[in-house]
Order: sequence, then C-alpha cells, then structure tokens
Amino acid sequence: MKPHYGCCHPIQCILPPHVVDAIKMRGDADQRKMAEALAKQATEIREEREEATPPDSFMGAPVLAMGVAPAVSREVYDGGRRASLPGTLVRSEGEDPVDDPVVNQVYDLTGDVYNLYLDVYRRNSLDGQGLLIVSTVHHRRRYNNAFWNGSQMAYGDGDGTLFQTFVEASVVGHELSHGVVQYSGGLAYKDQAGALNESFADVFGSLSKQYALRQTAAEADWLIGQGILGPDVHGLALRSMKAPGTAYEDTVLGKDPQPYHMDFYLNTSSDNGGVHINSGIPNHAFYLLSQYLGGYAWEKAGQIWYDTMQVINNPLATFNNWADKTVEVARERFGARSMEVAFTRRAWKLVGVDL
Amino acid sequence: MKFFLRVLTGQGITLQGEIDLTDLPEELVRRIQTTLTRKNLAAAAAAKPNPQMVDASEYELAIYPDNPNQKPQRYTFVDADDNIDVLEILDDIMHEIVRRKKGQS
Repeated sequence: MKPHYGCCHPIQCILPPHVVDAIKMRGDADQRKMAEALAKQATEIREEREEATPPDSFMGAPVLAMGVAPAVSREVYDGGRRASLPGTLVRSEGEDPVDDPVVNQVYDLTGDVYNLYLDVYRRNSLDGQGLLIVSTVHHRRRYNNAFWNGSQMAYGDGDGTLFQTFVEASVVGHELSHGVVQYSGGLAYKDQAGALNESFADVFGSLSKQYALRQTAAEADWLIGQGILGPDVHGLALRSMKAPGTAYEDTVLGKDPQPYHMDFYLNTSSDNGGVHINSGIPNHAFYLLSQYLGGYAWEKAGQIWYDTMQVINNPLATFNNWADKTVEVARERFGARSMEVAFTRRAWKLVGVDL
Repeated sequence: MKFFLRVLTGQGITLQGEIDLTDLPEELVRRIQTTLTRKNLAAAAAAKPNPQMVDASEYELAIYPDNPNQKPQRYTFVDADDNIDVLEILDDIMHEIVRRKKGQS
C-alpha cells in the first residue's frame, strides 16, 4: 500500500474501504457486484494517482508546480467578550502588530502551526489548498475554553482564577489540527474515533510547539496547555502526553483523569464517550514512539501519524484500526524490517493496544 | 433556591459545585431572576449544537427549590449560538462557586 495524499476520490469518501469490504461479505448479489466494482474502480484510481504523483508530494505540490508559492493567510478578530463570531477584524495577513498582545500571539502561533504543516508535511493550510485561517480572541466573558467550530478558531480569556488564557502554542496547534482532521476525511467526535481526533490534535499541537522551538523529543515538555492554568491551581497543564493522568491535581479541577494504558480505558457517556480522557492512550503511544526514534518527533513519528490521518479513510476508526494503519504506513515509508515499524508496534503494545 | 452546576470545559476538565442563590452577588441574582426562567431554560436546553464544533463546552444544571416537596429542575446545555444568555449566567455562577472553593473573597 502506498499512501495517497490530499482529498480522496468521492467514491472513497462516501464508501470507505472497510464499508465496501463489509458489503462484499454481507450484501446480496447485486450489492456484492456493486461493491466489487467500486473496489476495482478505487484501486484503478489509486494506481493512476500513484503513477502520476511522486510519493512525497500531495496537495501542496500542484500549487508549487504552477509557480505560486503557498503562503499563510490569517485573520484575527476581537470578539469583544461577546459570543457572536467572528467579531471585529483587528489584524490581517502581513499587517503590523497591534496593541493587543493576545491578537499578536494568536497571529504568530497560527503562523507556527501553518509552517509545521507546510514545511514538514507539505500541506498548504488546514485544507491543503491555502484556506484562510480565521481566529477570534476574547470570545465570551470568563470563557474557560477554546474551540474549532468547523470554520474558525475561538479562544476565551479564561476566568482569571482557574485559567489565565487559552492562547498558548500547543492549544493553538491543537485547535487548528482539528481543522486538519476535518479536511482529511474526519474522525467522528465520539468514543474511540473521537479520542483519536483529540489525540491527533494533541500530537500536532505539541509538534507545532516543538517545531517552532526546534526541540528534540527528549527536550520537549509533551504538555498540552502548559502555563494556561491560574497561579493558584495545582497543576502544570491540561494534559501530559509523557505521563497521562499527571497534568493536574487540584481542589477544584480534581485529578487529571487520562489513562496511559487500555487497562484503564474509561467507558463513559460523558465527554462524547471520554474523547478528552481516553485520548491519553494514543497520546502516550505517540510519545513512546518519539522517544524510541529520538531526534525531532515531527520527522518520523509525526510523519507516520500524519500519513495515517491521510489514508485511514475511516471516520469510525478504533484505536486498533488506527494502530494497524500506523504500522502499515511505517512499513510503506521505512520498510518492513525497519526500526520504525518495530518501534511503532512496540509503542502500541506498551499502551495495551494489540496489533 | 440552590444551584448544582457541572461544566465540562471542552478541554477535558470538569468543574462542578453548588451554591445558594443568597450567596450570589445582587447583580447576578437579578440577571438570574430575569433570564433563568423555566421557559428560557427549556429553550436553551433545546438549542442545537453545531455538529462540526469540537471542544465544545457542556453544562448540566439542577435547581433545587427551597420547598423540599418541590422537585428539582434539571437541564443540560451545549454551546450553541442561541442559548448564550443562559450559558453566560451559568459561567458567572460557576465563577462564584470556584471563587468560594479557592477561598477568594
């Protein structure tokens, strides 16, 4: 299997391969015939694309080929502590810094995330086609949250007690990476697929910070939201990829509930099936792989995770589905007998995800 | 009247606590009395979320009347465009709960 990049063919988008397989196995005669035709067509399209497209290029390449260099395009709005989005435009691409440091921070951090995706993965913005990146700061009053709403980011200022900001490198990278997930075929925001969606956002949130600081896997803090908690809160961050479950323990926030192993997987209906909780498991697998491989985590481990997101084509993926695909992708990119494959397998085994 | 409030912040952190109406600032009490009516609360709870929104906040509110013979009212809310008035009051109530837990005056 060779990874295919960018937007998939509509047939593959509507009917992912596992669904086609299921129809082939369980459908009636006509349905099986249709599924086999679809599978054949998808294979032909993939082969055509592979012949036409060098393995290391994808969406960004056609833009470069036409002589138009990809360039970041940002707009930052001031929400004025109101709920309506996007608010008042305060800084557009290429404009000088403004008086509000939060606006400038978001502008700069958004650029850092864009640079990671373009420089390392040759992805031109969230959609791979130069999408304008819209952010709103000062969203609502005392709002303890930041989010991606399908078309833009919004950042609250926090209540000043528990949270002092949400504009921080890994949080900005996290929110923007939800956009990348959305434009890469998506992962349903529920149960294990939702936890993978959250984990992908954490992984690339952390990598965007590491890339901006040029930190190796050994030097990185592997924290999400480091420094955003209030001064009286007993904790370091929202989450720790290095040691899930240890980011905070506070009288008001309680204890960080993230597991690092499938033995402690939390079955819950809350939080869309624990998407922010069980994401600790794939987060830790990524951290372990990065430590095994050494060097810069965005180079090999990040490439494996990024490629997996581009090819998995299964919005309902489980941890096992994702883990299997990471091994497949590592095998394709680095070779079947490579250390990258061995370490990817080992990382998943150590968090209790059987391959 | 007592409020029990739980807020899932959207970043995986859950805040929860209870507070009596009489312990809230006067200005907030006035807003509660005019905005947190049964009708408004029911409408806010029915607000539809944006299906593409991730990291959205969720709110669970239980209102316990002073009369123990009266049943508590329970509502669940999600971030949506048309229930902001209610959610912002809940944020302020949570802020008061947190301040008390943290021992702030």
